[in-house]
Amino acid sequence: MATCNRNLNENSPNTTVCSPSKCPSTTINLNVLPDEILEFIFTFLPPYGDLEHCSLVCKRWQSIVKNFVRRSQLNLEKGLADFRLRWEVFSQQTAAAVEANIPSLPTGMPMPIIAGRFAHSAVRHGNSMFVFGGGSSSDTTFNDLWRFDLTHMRWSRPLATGTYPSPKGSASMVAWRDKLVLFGGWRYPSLHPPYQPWCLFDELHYYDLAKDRWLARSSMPCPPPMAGHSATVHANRMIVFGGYQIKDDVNVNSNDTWVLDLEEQRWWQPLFVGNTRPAPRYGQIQVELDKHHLLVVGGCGGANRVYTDAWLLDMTRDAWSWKQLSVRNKNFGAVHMWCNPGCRVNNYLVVVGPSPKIPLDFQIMKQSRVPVVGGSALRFAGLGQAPPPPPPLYQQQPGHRVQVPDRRPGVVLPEQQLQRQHQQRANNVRLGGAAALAPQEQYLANRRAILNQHMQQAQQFMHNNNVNNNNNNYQPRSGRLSDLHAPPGAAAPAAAPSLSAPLDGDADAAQRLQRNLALRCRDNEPLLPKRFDEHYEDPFRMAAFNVPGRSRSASRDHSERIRRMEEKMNAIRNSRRSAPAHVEPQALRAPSPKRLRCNVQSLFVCDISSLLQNDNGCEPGLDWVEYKNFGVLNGAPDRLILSSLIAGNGELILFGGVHKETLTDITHHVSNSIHFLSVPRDII
Amino acid sequence: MPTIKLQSSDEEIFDTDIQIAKCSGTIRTMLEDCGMEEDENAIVPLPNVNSTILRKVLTWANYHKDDPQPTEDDESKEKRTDDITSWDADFLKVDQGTLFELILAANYLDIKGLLELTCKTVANMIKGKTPEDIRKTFNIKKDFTPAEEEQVRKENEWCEEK
Repeated sequence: MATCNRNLNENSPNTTVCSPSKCPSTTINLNVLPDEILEFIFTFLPPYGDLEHCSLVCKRWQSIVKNFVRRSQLNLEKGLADFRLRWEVFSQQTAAAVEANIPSLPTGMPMPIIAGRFAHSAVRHGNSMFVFGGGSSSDTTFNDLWRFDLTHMRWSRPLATGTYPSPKGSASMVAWRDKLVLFGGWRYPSLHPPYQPWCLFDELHYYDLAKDRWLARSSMPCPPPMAGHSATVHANRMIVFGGYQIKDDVNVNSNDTWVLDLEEQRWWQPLFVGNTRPAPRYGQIQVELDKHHLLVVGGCGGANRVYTDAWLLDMTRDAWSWKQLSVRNKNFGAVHMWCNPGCRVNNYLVVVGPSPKIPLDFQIMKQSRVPVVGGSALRFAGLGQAPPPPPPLYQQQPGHRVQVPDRRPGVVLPEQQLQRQHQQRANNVRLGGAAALAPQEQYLANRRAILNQHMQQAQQFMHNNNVNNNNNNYQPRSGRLSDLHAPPGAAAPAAAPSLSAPLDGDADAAQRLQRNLALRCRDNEPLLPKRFDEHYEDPFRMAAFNVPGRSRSASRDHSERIRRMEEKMNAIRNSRRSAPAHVEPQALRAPSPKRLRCNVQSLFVCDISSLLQNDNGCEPGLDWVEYKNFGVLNGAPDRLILSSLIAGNGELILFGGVHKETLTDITHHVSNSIHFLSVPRDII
Repeated sequence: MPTIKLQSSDEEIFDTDIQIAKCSGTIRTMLEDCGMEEDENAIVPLPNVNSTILRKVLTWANYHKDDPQPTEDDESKEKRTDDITSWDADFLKVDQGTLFELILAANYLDIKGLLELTCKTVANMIKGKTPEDIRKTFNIKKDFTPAEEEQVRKENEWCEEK
């Protein structure tokens, strides 16, 4: 009897709460829960399709979702302002776990996973991230289009028809209505005939998302072939700025602005007030501020010309104008804003990249550095304002020094010794081959070393990936070339002991040490033929991106660098004098939990709110936010370059990239992991 | 092991290990603020929780009493994997009414772990469903007019302020 009454009362849940004891629970409706608990439940949902469905359930849910959305936007901004965020990874392993949890999926049909890549184009449309093209692990470029469904956390590759774009990287891709617009890009030169320059494109494609169809568009006039330009959408216009271009058969960096009328598919160039405009550059970060304003930050104008300046493009009037913005708090700003991505989150510009300011003592604590000739970690320094590498410190630290045995040609030495030996030989060769080496045996030993090192590298990265959770799915194909020269059987046993017997039982340290060795010694290999592009210290100064610096003289640069090096050495000497050599013994012990990882992405946050306000109380400019912990957050991904960063709902999404140290290798370590940066919370 | 007496809304008394009872922030505060810890015979009244639910809550608390405190310093987290343990999943194989009452009880008693677990379970029931399915699952009445629904569909809450 009581049961019947309850059922009648179904829609007035308040009465059922008061006396819940022993009553049939079927009468209780989810809406008995107070708003804050419903909101708490929503926090566990992926903030995309599922949340949209919730807001369509009923009016009460809609307003709760609205509240929740506002709160999570605020939380993200607050998190950015005081660096209280964390990184989470979506890797192949996660995908497999997710897959296993979905019983409805047909078995035997593994979910497709995108191949690792860098310099790809990524854009968000609705609840999906679209990724096009980019460079592969082996000097080729892709022309595939992938969709990452943010609601279900799944990759898929739409079956597209129409005229495909060429395989290319560093193209611009924007979303406009239900279309993606892809423009420009580069690809590697073909091998025959040799010594061709990198290929640049002026292709323009629309991708129709509803029909999954590529449409090639051409119209005159049109911009020159370019790559590394930047593009944003303002109403029905796509604004393209800068880039590395071919103009009248000459490769130049550009500071031109082009406008594509997206509806009419017509290119035009605006008139400008005055001659003020940013210096020519590529790789810059461009963000939309509103319908008539955009912001350009950073970029690279060639060797030693990495910019950290900021420009505002005002498109309100018929004649447009550029205005240089003041950048405040520069010492907390990102420095390599040409090979690292950035994006806007309402009042903030967010950039990832290396932090140049991590002090020396962190590196000592980091314990993974080893004596290295001409450390390649800062190989990019030649391009930027990053300080010169400080090798003397490491070379003089006895605790870190890897013992160099006498040369015993023909004996299979442990990995590190071989490499060490290898470096010495390289040096010898560089010194004009002064020291004569036992030719045949030495050659064999060296060749084995190369082989080892490639095997090592491959294993190292896989290993690192699994053990350290360093968050990236590398897709190495190392070792193949060396297989051609020597039977692989020789390498495996040599590589194995060094892996299985780490130093002092500190597996972590040993791995990183080995990895560093593996990464660094290719520079010093005289035996492998150098490709034409390897003669530069930085692969991205070659071919497609190589523009000779114009004004700064080489000698000035050189002396400047020497001066800074001297300063650095003095500082090191002083610090060593004041702090006795007590660091080393601790360094190789178990890592302390608080130690900072230096080889990961740092986060840089810039307050751009003064650009967005119309009533200018103060001069509009950029304010870099003082970072905590050098911008290194929990779970930070490995430091990769040429990845992509887009804004999701209450989170930022970083995808792909390449280990810059491996760009000169035969195969590059590219990532296909997605990293989410968000306020700490649980999502099912 | 010291115990404490908890009284449910239907006046059933539960003799409970004090450490287990203290997983509830509400009970902990009561004990500490009122100095009830010394008094062996003190009875803590819980007027918002009935005996069925309290029994379940205590079962859960007993099972999880030795759980380590969650650490903040997890180096790298895998994104969005379902982390409900099988014991918890079995524990929550209950009808919706009991589940919601558990949520209310966890909220009232301030038991963070249980609240998260139960809310995650509900979120799992929502996930992947269409609005209509959600309404059916939870017995919710649609109060949108078609025009209003269309309006909500068009709005994107995340980009509203532009």
